[in-house]
Amino acid sequence: MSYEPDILGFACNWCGYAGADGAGQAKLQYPTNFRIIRVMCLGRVDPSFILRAFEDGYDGVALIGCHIGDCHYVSGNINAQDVVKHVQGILDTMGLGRARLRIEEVSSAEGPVFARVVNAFKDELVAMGPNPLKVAKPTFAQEEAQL
Amino acid sequence: MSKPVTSAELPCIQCNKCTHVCPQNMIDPTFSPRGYLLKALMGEGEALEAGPEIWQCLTCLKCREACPSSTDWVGLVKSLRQEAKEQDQCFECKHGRLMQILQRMMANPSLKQDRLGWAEGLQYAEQGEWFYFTGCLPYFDNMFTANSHTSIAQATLKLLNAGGVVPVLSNDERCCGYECLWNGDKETFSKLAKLNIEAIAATGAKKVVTSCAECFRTLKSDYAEEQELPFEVVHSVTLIAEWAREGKLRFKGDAETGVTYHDPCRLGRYEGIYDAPREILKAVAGERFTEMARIKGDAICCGVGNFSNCDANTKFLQHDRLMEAKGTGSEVMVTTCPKCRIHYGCYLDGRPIEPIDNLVVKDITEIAAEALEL
Repeated sequence: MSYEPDILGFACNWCGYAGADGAGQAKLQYPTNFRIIRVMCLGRVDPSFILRAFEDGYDGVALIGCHIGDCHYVSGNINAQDVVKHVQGILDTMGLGRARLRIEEVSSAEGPVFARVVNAFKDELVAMGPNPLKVAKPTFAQEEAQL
Repeated sequence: MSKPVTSAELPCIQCNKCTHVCPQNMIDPTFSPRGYLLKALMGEGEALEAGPEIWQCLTCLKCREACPSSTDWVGLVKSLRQEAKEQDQCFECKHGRLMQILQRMMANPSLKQDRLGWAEGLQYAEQGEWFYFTGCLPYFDNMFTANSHTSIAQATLKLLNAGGVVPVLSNDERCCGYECLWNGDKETFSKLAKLNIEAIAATGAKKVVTSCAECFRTLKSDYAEEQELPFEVVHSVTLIAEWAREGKLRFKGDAETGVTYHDPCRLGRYEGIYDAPREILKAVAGERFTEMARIKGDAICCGVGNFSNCDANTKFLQHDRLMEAKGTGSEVMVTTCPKCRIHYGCYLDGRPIEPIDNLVVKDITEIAAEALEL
């Protein structure tokens, strides 16, 4: 079976999430393992949220928000860029690599951009291989045996 | 784990000295170790476990210094925290539990770190007698941005090299697990202890140097409780002071700025090392080294214990201590614990109660490396 990376996305309510909605309405394909948490603004995303995702075995984390200058709360996306820069440093030291975390700008009208960005991230993660902290998920047969 | 709630296990005589010296009580009069000990003696340990009080304690051990009957209040806090953790009543630690998450990640044996970037251009080995335990310093550079933290590691390595020691640095070294232990997560702590002892033993090192008071305490005393250690642990200050006495290291001794020293709890009250850092500062700054009023066993806490408490009280404590340092006429407050430096640096970099100009907090290895005569 080919390796499918688990990706966690934090999407802001005003741009990233609306972009995901647009991609869905246009019936564009993007990986099903991309799970989105809607936040009001990327400024809400704390370094601990990102690290916790990696601790729980996610292979990649993407923050998807407004273009610089478009933030509904003025500077939330600029703060998020700062957070991402520092957490990338932590990921490098930890040996996971900074490429597992990225921040993207997608406006509410850019459904196709959303799909493209997520697909490109998935391809990169497939090339990188799984997160070493990942706990092996039980197979269907193992789960059934437990029941 | 059994709670020490009988009077035989808690020899408290209710004299209130602990509460009188407690830094937390100095700011918040409702926090009273004596009052909580009374509750424990009356068999109301469960009420303590559920309350926020046990997370408010800074574990600075000042109470133990004052106690005439050697009551182990901090030990009680530690065991209650472990019990609270087992019952999933754990308090939300500061920074969204960032430190705890980092430690749990490091406790995973399949993690392959890449943490030696800071040591470029300096001498280190892969096998040898000496091991330099860097701790979390490479991580702190991206977590607490008020100061550079790898500069402490670089300075320590420079001093070790100048003393003729080429220590081992290892990518397999992990966090010592100090925050886990003191916040009740004994399970993660035991995993980290096992991994670290294995990693150090694999390099064949017999002596481990740390530049962090908390790592020093944890490796020396708490790891020894877990299993017998195949190595000896020393703090860099003990080593530097010894080498300065022997003449192996010579310092310029003409500091331009006044220097004062803040005793970290883990090096001072917990491990009893008071004189070595002062010897170094006298060699480095000479006459310009002045003492604050509250020193050695009487030194107050930097305001944050194990990242479990950081609030308005903390800010008042930090302001108090920094003003005391300023009052000696010094421009540099030196400490031997990177965490103290993080907390004071955070206060100075953030929103101080009132601005404190011309005062910086530095690590002892940094100013010693600057003053080194080669």
